[in-house]
Amino acid sequence: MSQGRHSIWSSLGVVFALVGVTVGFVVWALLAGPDIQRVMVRMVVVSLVIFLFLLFLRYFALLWFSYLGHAERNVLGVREIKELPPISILVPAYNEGLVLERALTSLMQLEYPEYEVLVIDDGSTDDTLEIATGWEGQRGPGHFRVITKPNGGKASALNAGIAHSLHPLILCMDADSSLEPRALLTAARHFSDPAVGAVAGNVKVENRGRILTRLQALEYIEGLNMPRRAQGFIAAVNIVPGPVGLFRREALEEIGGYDTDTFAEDADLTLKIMEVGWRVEYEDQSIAWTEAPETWRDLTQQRYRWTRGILQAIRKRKGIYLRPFPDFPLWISTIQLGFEAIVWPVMNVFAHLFFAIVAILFGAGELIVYWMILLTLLDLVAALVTVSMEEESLALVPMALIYRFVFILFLDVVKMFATMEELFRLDMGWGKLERLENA
Amino acid sequence: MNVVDILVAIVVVTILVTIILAVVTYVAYKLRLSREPTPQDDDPDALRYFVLFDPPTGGAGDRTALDRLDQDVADMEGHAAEA
Repeated sequence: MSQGRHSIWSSLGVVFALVGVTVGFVVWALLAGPDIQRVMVRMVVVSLVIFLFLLFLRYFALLWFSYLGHAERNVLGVREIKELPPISILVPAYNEGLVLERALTSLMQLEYPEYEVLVIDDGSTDDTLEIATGWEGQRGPGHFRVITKPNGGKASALNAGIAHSLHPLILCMDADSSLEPRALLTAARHFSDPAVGAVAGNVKVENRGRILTRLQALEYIEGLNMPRRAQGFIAAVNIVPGPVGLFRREALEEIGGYDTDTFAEDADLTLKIMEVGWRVEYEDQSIAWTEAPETWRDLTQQRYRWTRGILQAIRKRKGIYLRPFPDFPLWISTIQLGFEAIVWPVMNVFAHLFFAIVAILFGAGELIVYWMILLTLLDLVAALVTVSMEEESLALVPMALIYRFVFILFLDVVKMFATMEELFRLDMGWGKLERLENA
Repeated sequence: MNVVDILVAIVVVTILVTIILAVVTYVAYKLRLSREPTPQDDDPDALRYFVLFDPPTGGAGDRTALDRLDQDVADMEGHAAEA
């Protein structure tokens, strides 16, 4: 992972390359004869069918496994555990003075017999350390402690927290998130199975005052939690999210904690845990509320970092793609991670660009409109099903109307650039998001 | 212009505007990132554009520039009075 001065010129080069390819294609298409133009219209038809097939396949596979996971829980009930083991909660914080108080308040109200809260101040330059220190001591069932260290990034802060923690289960969360009172109770039950090494919780968007954050709220339910629930059915969740993830200490110690060489330490850690044979499950009742970016620019920053981080995690274990056995769930999980991070965004952006250009130049617009109406209906159905499964607000469902053609397309452009930059290994930095304290 | 034509226009414009906005936002983000200070800029030991003046201690060095100016003015007034 490189951290140096960020060259705007190399990034602009990527943009110019994309624009150049598009303009070149348009000029070539205009100069081409009617035969070529007919071929292109046919290509649009074939692409639409392939696209639709892939989308249907993805949706139905995810919805089906997600439904099975949901049904398994409802029919078989939740797993019972004889004795609830004490839990260490790690809260890494770097300049989180505005939001830390809210996170710690939520931790004071957890329904769990015994836990400790360890705030790790990662060399903050604001009042984070003072706020955290004010919370030290016993508060209800939770014992609050603070450690401070020079700034070294989230992964190093979490590693310091693991080293100082005392209990057999360790919950990692973000300082800008807050936990529901039953978050620990519901996640801890999964550890009655000795093969379970980690449990991914359910992250929800708290600030929903703007269209952009409502779109993200829908995305978390439909685009992130639905796949996670489906992966949970085969115990191969590929990302235990940063805002809420419960780990067995033994698993963390076996893999040596977090690596500091990627920007998606949560994805990297999850893959490491699965690689050594632990099962990773999903618990939709272990809920964390998080603050989503409120501007397109902050969203760009967040997704750029996520994408490059995931690609760095994949790059570290390229060999997995050639080894479907003996660990098939890990293989399928990693395939999906790579597909969603690399293949799909590039395909989606270029397909949309191609459709728009052909519609303008050669008049295949009607076909594309019907295709889009069909996709929008599919998105609406998926939104309705997933929102109902999570007993969320139905007011989020209409967001599906602009979800794919505006929100997802926007994100896919950002992911595509991030992928190209990672491919060329351009420098990147953490780019901490601005906290707004209005979640 | 029928409904389908209007829908085609809406769809095409939406796709193009979204892609253009995404590219612009990405460039804006990269521009902001390129202006952020790097760890080298934050390093207190790194080369600075100027070196702070460290006044010599003891004797005439203890006097400030204002003291010296006052002394110079007084000397000049003394010379003028003598003349």
